Amino acid sequence: MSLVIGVDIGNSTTEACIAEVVPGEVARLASSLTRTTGVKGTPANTAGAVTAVRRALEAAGRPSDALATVLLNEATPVISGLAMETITETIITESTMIGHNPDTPGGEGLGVGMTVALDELTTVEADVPVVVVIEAGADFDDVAHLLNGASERGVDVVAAVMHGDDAVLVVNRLPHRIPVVDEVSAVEKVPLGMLAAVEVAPPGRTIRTLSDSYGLASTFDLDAEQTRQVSPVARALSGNRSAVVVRTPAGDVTDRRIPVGTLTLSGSGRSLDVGVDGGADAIMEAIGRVAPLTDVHGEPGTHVGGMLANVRDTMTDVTGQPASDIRIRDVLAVDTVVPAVVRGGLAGEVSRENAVALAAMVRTSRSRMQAVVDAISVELGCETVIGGVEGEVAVRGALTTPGASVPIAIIDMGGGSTDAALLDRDGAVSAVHVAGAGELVTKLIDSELGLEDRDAAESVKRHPLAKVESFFHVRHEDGTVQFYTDALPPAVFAKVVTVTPEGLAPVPVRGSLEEVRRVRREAKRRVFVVNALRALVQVAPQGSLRLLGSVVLLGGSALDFEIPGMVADALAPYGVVCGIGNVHGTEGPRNAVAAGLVDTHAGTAAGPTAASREAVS
Amino acid sequence: MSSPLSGVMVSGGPGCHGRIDRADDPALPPAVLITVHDDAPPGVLREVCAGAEEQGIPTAILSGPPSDADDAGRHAAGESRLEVGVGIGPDGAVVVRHALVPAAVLVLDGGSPPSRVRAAGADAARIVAGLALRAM
Repeated sequence: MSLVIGVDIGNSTTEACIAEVVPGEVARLASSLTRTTGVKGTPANTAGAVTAVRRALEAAGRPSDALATVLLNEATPVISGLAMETITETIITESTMIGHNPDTPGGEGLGVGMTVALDELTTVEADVPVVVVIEAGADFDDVAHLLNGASERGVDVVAAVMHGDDAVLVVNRLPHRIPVVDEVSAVEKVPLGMLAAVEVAPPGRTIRTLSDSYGLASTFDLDAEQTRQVSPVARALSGNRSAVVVRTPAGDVTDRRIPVGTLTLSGSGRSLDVGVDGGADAIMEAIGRVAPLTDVHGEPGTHVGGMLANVRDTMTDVTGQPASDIRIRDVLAVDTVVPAVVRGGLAGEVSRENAVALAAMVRTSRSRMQAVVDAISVELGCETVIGGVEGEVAVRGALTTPGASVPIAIIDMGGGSTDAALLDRDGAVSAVHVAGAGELVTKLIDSELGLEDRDAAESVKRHPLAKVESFFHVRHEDGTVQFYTDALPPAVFAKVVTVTPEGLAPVPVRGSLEEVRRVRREAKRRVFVVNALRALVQVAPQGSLRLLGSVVLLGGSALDFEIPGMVADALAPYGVVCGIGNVHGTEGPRNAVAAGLVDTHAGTAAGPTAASREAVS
Repeated sequence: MSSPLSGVMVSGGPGCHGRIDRADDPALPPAVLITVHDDAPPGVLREVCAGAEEQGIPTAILSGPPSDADDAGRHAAGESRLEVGVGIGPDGAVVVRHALVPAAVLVLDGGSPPSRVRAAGADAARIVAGLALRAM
């Protein structure tokens, strides 16, 4: 009898399974889980692996000198890199418009007049319609007093634009309600002496005149050609509750596409150029045409060139291989939308720009795994060996799930890559790795919601959402209401929150729960569902998903509250039995590889034995 | 200027129904109630009322026994039909309270800058409106 531990070093987590083994029999004692240190397949993994081993020993109540053998997985070390590039940009020239949405604009209606500074109001002649521009620091009572004084002199004050959050206060102190747009942070840049229009819609409505091309034409008396020129302004303002448009000689809003360069895809003996600004569909379609991919390059001197050079540099740092030896073996491109501050905007306006996110995957040389084995052996002072090939061990581990049978496919949804493997009736195993997994989902959520906070994005990815509706109740994203007997903290009041085991955590967004939920589910669908299908097609007999039979989901993402359901829904039309792995009926979707390594060592691995082994990708 | 509703002199601007002695007057629409100490700097009341007015929620100034900001806030919240009250202490300290929440929602020390006092008034109104608080 000997004490054996299987250690599975994954992209994000390192898992261990400890067991007492006599040939043909395995008594599992405990398992453990820790964060992977360093990039998978590099000597930096040693620390995490040793931690996992020590934790498993502790949980099993065994001293470390009792350990006979440590088994590691022979992973094809797959390293993933992520990059994202914006491909559209909105620019406002000559401060022509203010299109932000202050919470509380004042008054309502449309006012058209010449822009004039508040302190110049005394010099304006009577009967001239004016739009008053009010700088920072002005008190609402003083502003109202000056506006009322000007009106009494016969000046036609039709609207105002101001810096502070005072619009309602000012309007409440005027005899006539005029539209006032407030919280304009760069109000000093509003050009003076120009014709301007200010529009505020009633509560619950959006503006109608300034967001319409012919509305602008009527307001500013434009001819057909000028109307064509201002139509981007109208488009940029649609959906707002308030807006300001200033007519300047060369003012404009442009929505331009940023030239981000082309990707050169090499594979099946040829190469293909595809423009990144064509979007993700065009890129993925081109990748399909040159499959299997042997390498990808970005056009030097362009954004995408820099993007892939960064990925290569990172790989060089972690693997020690020269950049020229690194081959990008798979790319997942995803279309995304990124909120970006509009260049030339006066009130911190944000527009939703198109972007493309790329996950690139690199395979490194196998010798690096031996370095990890050597380092662990030194650290723990016991025999350490490579106990099996990851895909094969995982699929045999998955086969111990109650109800599973051959042919069986697995999808291991990890942090950096999504892996699929198939064990057929003859015992042959084929496996593939495709780029893009949990990390890409986190990045998409982070950028689409404009969080700029990886931890918050991770929390949105992992936990269901709720809206705090009062100090005592929340409404979960499925509509159910939960009452709390103790008052909820003010920090979460009326916020969209994630429901975590530690409690409610506010999500720092202005958008609604529905918006956050949509972004989260779309990110998961575009990465996990797309990748699950993409990977399974590559291992499926004759590339037909209908011939798969059963698919077992493994890895940390199989524990997610909605990903397994989304993947199962996507596979349902192919008549595939799809479910979450439950290794040995007890371990859940985790530990398939770690437990499988021990089984292989003891000669108890499940499934038919391979007559021959073939590896795809 | 007089309030169209209570007919008494307004001391908190057009969004304020002025001073009231009792909160159960059916003629008074629901309001965030503010109980202010006589010695409080006048600018504090003005900013609290302005904050709530900008959010579109009415306020009224409820008389109460002389006390510190926290007790004043508790009294105002307890009497308010919107269950939200603001207490202003003799030193200008501001406490925002909800009638059903044991702890103060928001506390500002005396002498806080007017912008923060305004934000506290806005947050009192935002509790009523069910909007996330800005001070958080």
